[in-house]
Order: sequence, then C-alpha cells, then structure tokens
Amino acid sequence: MTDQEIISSIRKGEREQAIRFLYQEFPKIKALILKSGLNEVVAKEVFNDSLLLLIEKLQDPNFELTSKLTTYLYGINRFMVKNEMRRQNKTAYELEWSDTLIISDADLGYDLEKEERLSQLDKILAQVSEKCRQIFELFYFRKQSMEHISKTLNYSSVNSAKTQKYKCIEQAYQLAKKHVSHPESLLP
Amino acid sequence: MRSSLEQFERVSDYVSGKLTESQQSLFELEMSNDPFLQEQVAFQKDMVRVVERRALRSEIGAVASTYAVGGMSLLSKLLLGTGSALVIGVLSYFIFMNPKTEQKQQVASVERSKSEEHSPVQNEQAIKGGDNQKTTPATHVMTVDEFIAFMRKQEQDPSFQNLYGSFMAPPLLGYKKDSLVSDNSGFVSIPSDSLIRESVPTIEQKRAYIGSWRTSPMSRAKASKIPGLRKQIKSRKKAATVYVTDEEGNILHNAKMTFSYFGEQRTVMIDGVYGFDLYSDIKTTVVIELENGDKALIENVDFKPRYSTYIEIEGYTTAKKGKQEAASEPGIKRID
Repeated sequence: MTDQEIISSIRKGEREQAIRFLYQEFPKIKALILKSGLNEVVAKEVFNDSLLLLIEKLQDPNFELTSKLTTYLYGINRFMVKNEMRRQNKTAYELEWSDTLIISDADLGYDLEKEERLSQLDKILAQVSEKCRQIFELFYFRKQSMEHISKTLNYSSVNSAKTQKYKCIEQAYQLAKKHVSHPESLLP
Repeated sequence: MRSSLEQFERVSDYVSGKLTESQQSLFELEMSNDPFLQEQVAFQKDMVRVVERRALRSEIGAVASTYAVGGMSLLSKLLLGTGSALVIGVLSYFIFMNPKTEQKQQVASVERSKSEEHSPVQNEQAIKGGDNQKTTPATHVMTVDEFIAFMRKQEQDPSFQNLYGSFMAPPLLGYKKDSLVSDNSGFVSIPSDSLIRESVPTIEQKRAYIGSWRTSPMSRAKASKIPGLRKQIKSRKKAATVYVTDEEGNILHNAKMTFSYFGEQRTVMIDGVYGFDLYSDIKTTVVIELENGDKALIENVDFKPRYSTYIEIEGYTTAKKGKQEAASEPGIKRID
C-alpha cells in the first residue's frame, strides 16, 4: 500500500488493511523500544498507542504529511518512548533512535494533561453498563442516528432511546464526579 | 448533571456537528456566558474522543492478536511451515492412537484457525475410541441404548473415568435450583464481538482447546436422582453448558468467561460449570480469565443446545501452581 492509499482508506473508515500494513513495522520498532530499556509488554502498548495517535492524526482532514508515513510512525514511537521513560524515571537511550524523525508535543498536538483526563474517562467508561457503552459506540463512533440505534438496540421508540442515552451520559458524568475531586477539571 | 433532556440533546447535537450555522452561532453565544454549558460540551467532546479511541484500540488489538504469524519474516514462515507439517504428522498419529486427544480441537487464538463443528457423532466416536475409530471415524451413529450400554460398561473402567469422567458429570451434577437461568431466547443473529476484544486489549494469549459433548441420557438419569432437579433438567432440554479445565482435565473453579450472547456481552463466573438456555447454535469469541489473572481469547467457540462445551487451557496446570485439590463437584453460578 502506498502512503496515499493508507491515508485514503483510513479517512474512509476502512482501517483494517491499513492497520495491518502499518503493523508490519512493529518488529523493527519493538527492537528499538527494547533497546531503550523498556520491556516487551510496554513496547506493544507504546506501539499500539502510537498507531492510534497516527490514525487520529490522519483522520484530521487538515493534517499534511511531510515525511514518509512509516517515518512519521517511527517519530511518534520515539516520542511515546521518551514519554514512557520520563514516566518511569528512566534515562532515554537516544542513540538507538538517532535517525528517527523528531516530533514534538506541539507537532503531534499531544497534551499530557488532556491525555490523563481521557485516560481517566476511559476507566469511567469501563464502569458504565454494557448497554450504555453500546449506545455510546453506535452514536459517537459509528455516527448512527437515534432512529437506527433505537431499532438496533430494540427500544420501543426513538424517544426512549434518547432518554437512555441521556441517562447513560449522566451515569458517566456522575462517575466522573465521583472519581475526580474537581469535576471542572474535565474542562479543556 | 443539572441539564434537562432538551439541553442535553442540544449539547449532543452541537458536539456532533448537527446544528445549522445559525443554531451553532446562537449556541456558542449562549455557551460563552454559561460555564455549566461549557463543562457539558467539554465532557461530551471528551466522551466522543474516548469512545472513538476504544473502538480504534479494539481494531488495532484485533490486528495485533493475529500478528504473531502474519508479521513473521519469510524465513520464519518457511520454518513455521516445515514445523507445522511435522506437527500435523505427529498430531495425526496421536489423533488415531490416543482417544483423549481425539476430542480436542485446537482453537486458533493466535493463528485464528477456524474451529470445526463438533457433531454428536464425532463425540460419541471419541467416547468409543479404540480400533473402531481407526477404521470408521465418525461414521457409526450409536443409538441411545447402545450409548447407555457403552457408558455403563466404560464407567466400570477407572482409566476411562480419569479421561472422561469429568466431562460427563459436571453439566448435570452441578445444577442447583437457584442457579437456573431464564435467559431470553429466539434471537437469530450474533453481532460483532468487538466489545469482547475491547475488554481485553492486551491479552496474554494462552493456547486453548475446545470440545463439545452432548449432554448424555446417563447424566440426565444421574441428575434425576437429585431431589427437585428432575423437573428443572426436563425444563432445560435446550440448555448449553460450558466448563473450563486445566491441561490435565481438572475442572477450574472461578474462571471468568466473557462472551457474546445474541448481541449482549456477558461476563459470567464459571464455578465448575455454567449453564444457559440456548435454542439455536451460536458461534462466538470467548475470553477466559483464570483465577491467577491469566487470560485466553478463544475464537469460534460453538455453543449448542444440549451440548456441553469444555475449554481446556494448555500450559495451565492447577497442580503445578500449588493447587493440589482435586476437581470437586461443580456448581452453577451465574453473575450478570
């Protein structure tokens, strides 16, 4: 697949083949991560998170790629490894990544505080009911209409599906309030 | 949350970009003077991002789980191919020689190979074992009388009990009055199991085997001796059961199973055995979490009415881990 084909398929929502293609870089990147002093489990997490950030970037229609896609993926991995090393209070071995594209927080639009907030919310989402997670996925990710959702999830009417969605958001919000001492910190 | 449903819908529409340009301008003006509205918008935007990420992680995880084979070098693939041929040869030998291995089907948790249908014929043949299997594998259908006679004969044999005793008994001995499940039924389709995958994004793969066993008339007879159970068993003619064993066939207690049941993701505790109502075959992805936290993702697990499915976790032996207690009589416990 060419870079353009990958970008195009990701923007069309046909991600599987693109992910599969990009995943071929994993062994080489994993070797670099391991040389940096992180273990195999973290290496996989770092790679998967980097791939996620790359896909998010590519989904942004305003994003312009200025290098090879795989080069950019290496750059994100390097960035994520540095973050992880910092988090673990380890010294980064820069040598291994010497030829890799240097990407900054600003280039990537990466805000550590926001990432932590999203991570917190992710944990909260894991606590809401399965039904709510289904509604969220269908509405926010699959972008399905409430009419469609009400049929898919067997609600008696669109209004009852809407009410359920409202209750689900409220449930998540209440959980967030319980977990975060200052709910206003959820603001960007 | 102080918002009304209407306000929530407006926020939701704004976050989803469904407002017209004028509605959007008006909303933003209102929001500039209302910190609470700002907070709700921020919260919902974060929700969108998190939900999208969870789905993306799930897609990435699905690829990652297959990568062990797909991403190998050509040399590795050649070596794997040669190795596989050897393994197939060795396995073929044992399949015809060892009745225990006959009933196992390897589940491709890593390789994603497709598990095959387990017909009662095959399972009954596996019970029968011996020379008959070499000459007429899966061709002779036992009548119920033959089967009962065969089982009675075999039950006298201690080695047979070691091999198969635990497979036959649990589904019925384990029934308890309070544990009977009144599931909905009559659905026709199973949607994507992405949510299951999502729940275990970084799974520690364990190789596993599955097999299925038709709930035998013998077991029904045994159950009927337990006071109060006869009626329940009769009412559960369509029940399917599942249990998890270690590599030595010991039944594992407190194994947590996550699976997709007609569009609903369920997590149940298999305390020896788990039974549920089933009116048609389902094929689903199953995640087993053992007491020690080890997890196994098993694809294409068939559940069938009147069948017991067993999942054997290879490389996991309770005895090795210091749990020497013998498999005790299982009970059914369901948690929703």
